[in-house]
Amino acid sequence: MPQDRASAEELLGGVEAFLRKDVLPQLSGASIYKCRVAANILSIVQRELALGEGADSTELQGLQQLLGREGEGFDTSSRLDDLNGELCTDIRSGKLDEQRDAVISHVRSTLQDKLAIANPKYAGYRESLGE
Amino acid sequence: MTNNDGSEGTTPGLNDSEVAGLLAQEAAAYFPVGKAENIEKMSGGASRETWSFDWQGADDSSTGLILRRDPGNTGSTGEEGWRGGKTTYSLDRTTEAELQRTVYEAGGLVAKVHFALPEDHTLGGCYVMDRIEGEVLAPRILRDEAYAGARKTMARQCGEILAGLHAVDPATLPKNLVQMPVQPLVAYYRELLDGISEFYRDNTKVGRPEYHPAFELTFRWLEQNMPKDAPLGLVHGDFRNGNFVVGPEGIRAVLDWELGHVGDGMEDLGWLCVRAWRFGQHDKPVGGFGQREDLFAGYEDAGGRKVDPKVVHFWEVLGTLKWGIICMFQAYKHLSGLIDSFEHMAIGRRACENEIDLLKLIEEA
Repeated sequence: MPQDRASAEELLGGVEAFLRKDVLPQLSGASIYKCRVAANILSIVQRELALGEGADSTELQGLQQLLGREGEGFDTSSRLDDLNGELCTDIRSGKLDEQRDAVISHVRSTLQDKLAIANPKYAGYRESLGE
Repeated sequence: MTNNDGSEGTTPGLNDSEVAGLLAQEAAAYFPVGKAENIEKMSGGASRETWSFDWQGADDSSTGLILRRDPGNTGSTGEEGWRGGKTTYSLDRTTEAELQRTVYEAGGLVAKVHFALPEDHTLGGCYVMDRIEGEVLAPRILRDEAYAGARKTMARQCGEILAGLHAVDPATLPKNLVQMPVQPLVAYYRELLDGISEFYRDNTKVGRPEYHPAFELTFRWLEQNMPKDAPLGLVHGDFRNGNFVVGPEGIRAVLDWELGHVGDGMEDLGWLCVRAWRFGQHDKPVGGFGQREDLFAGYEDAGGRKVDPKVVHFWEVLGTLKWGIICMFQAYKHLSGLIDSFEHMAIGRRACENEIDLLKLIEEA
């Protein structure tokens, strides 16, 4: 059963605004830095709530296509673990050397989705999008 | 390494007035006449502390000095490894002081060391050196008008400084300086990545390893592009903006020698070009202030070996990988209970910034 409003994102947004508008101006010294980090963390979690599920299922599809199997497990997260484990092992052993371009293209789009959550302002991310 | 967490971390050991008292006492034992004044703590982090003071000698002469110490008398040694909370093979203060002396005597741009105290001293391993006046904060050096002239010359100057540093006679270096040519260095970061991932799988509630395919692609690329037969010599190990004391005319001194080791000098050139040090100045790949051509020309003109841009690129790739794994390590330090700092935890989410950069770097080559 869904929770009542406010949603998790809305709640976090409220706390983030409180930290930035009310708390931050009253701080001094090292606490300023810590408060900024705290507010940034709340904005990361809001983006993760909004985009995380979609990013996981896109990543899973990409891995399934690349490795040619569904992945073991009963949910997306365990299938992702299974397939990412294989991807890393096979890159390491050189087994995927021949498919380097396809691997890089999959890894890049996964990282773009990760950065859209972790730090969408990052210059290297904007560049990778061709901006 | 970079302690930009602004943490005030409480550490066991001495309080500030006890440190100041012991410092005054030790300085009085070293200098023939006079006394310590204006003792002031400049920065305190979990890993390193810096104190500033003046020595008032005879005839009203005054010398500005710096104390560099490990708080909490933790006595860091290379043997502790990453599981002890050390990001890298860092030197203890005694060896760092010895290295700094060697470089000073070879004519390097470094503060003169006056005296050092051993690890088992009440103050902890520490040393006192000249205070070189100038700016250390990288964003100010990169943006303030006062350093506009310095910025124009710094890339070339970095090349010159490094050429001198890499030419220091290996026979004069501290005996316990770690040998870290390219292969063991890569292996070191391989172990760090695997160790953190295994820890998460076996010792945390989430119970899953952490996968970084872009790091794996990078390790593979490094294996296939590893420079061969590089001459070995002194490497600073953390030569970058943030560890320079800068005046309007350029770099006055190079700080922070705790990652000094014996390896391939090209490591220092590549590390200086890693994106993290550009602080937004992306059209200036050398530390956010200059161009590679000037760095290389300065290096060669000052007697350094001929620079192969491909080898420097290799070290820039390895440097970016290192920085990415250090981001993981910062989160690990909190999640493993070594420190209590949610800011460090958040840095774990920055590993992917390096990963996206690495894909570009290994495709360019």
